Amino acid sequence: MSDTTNNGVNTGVVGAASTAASTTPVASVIPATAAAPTAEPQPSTMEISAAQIREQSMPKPQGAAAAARPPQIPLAPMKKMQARFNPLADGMVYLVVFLGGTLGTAMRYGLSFIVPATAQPLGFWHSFHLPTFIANMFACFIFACLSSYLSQASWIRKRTRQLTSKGFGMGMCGGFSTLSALAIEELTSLQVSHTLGAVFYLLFSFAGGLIMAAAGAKLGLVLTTRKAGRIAAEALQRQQARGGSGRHVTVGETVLLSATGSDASADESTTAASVNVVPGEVDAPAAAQATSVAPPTEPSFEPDPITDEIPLTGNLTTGEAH
Amino acid sequence: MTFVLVCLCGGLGATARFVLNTSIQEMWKRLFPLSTFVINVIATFCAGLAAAAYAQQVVPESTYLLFVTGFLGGFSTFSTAINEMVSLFRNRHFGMATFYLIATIVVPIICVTLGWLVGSLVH
Repeated sequence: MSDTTNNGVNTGVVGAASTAASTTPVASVIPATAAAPTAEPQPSTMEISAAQIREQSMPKPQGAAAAARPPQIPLAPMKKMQARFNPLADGMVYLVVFLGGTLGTAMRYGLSFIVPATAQPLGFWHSFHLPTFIANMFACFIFACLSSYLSQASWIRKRTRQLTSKGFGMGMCGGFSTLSALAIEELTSLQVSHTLGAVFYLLFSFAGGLIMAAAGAKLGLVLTTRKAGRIAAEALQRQQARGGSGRHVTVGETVLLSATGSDASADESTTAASVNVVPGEVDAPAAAQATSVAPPTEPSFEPDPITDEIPLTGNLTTGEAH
Repeated sequence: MTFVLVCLCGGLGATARFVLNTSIQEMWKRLFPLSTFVINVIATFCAGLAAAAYAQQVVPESTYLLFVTGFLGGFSTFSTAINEMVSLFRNRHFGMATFYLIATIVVPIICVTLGWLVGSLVH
């Protein structure tokens, strides 16, 4: 008894997960002209509602795990040495950060040979140290641009993004910019009582850095938006070239297509992203509307009813109910 | 030759920053970007100490160059701090962003002075 009921429940859940699979073969035998229209069972009768499954598959911690601060289980020693569990065990990141830091320091140190050390040999501008200032401004701009670009660029592999961000962002830009040199320059300026120049240099560095970083972040966003728009346009073109209508379907909308259309597609589901091609679901309502006087007869296929006598615990990932 | 050594020290500083940054971020889950702040505080204190040592001719210029321009330059970071402020501002944490900005302006100056004083006293 319990076996048969379980089977029925299983069918129901599987049917809910893949409605197309169970409906299509039945619907395909119905002529499209609908001399004897057969109303399909509502798909909703075959589903355990999503809310029910969500309710039952949500974790409900009990005992010590239900505390506000549940006890932490430390990571197994061998897992602590794996890069995917411990960022400090990622040798590749060490390498790119080291190389980036070396490059950044080379740029900063090289800049001090090219650019004069202070803006003016004497007076107010003597406190203004050009090499440090230029390095800090460029580093802020590059870092902001890079990090905002990489945070949006979903078309690049995650690992590539991570290593680029660590190598160029943390390593190169971090090594290029410096706060310790700025602090020492402030100290020496204050010691020879160029207070005004020192304060101006300090505040100007921070204001300039903030402006450059905001501009860099803006540029990164603009670049990613443009690239994402191009990718979307290409995808739309590709879809239209294949003969799809390329039209968005909103939530809850019923799309009625002609029965002769070989590629009839309907999307009554909640997401417009996954457009299921379900000819059976469309043909029946379309045919019923065409005749519109034909009384609905017994459905040709009736799934086993779902009763609440057996408490169900649906698993969303496997589709099992037990 | 000195140039290459200074650059390698910078790489070492960046690696040290990565280790410290990751370790602090694992413990600290609040909004305030403590890791960058601590890194900059340590770096500026050491810079003041080194400047005092160099000014009193305790260490030669090459050592000073390697440590301050190389290691501490790679270790401390201006760009990360500024970008953390910008992202705090963008996420509308105005109070925290302003606090962090003022702290990053004021505290390094205090730290470098403290380092200088400690270095002078020790001698």
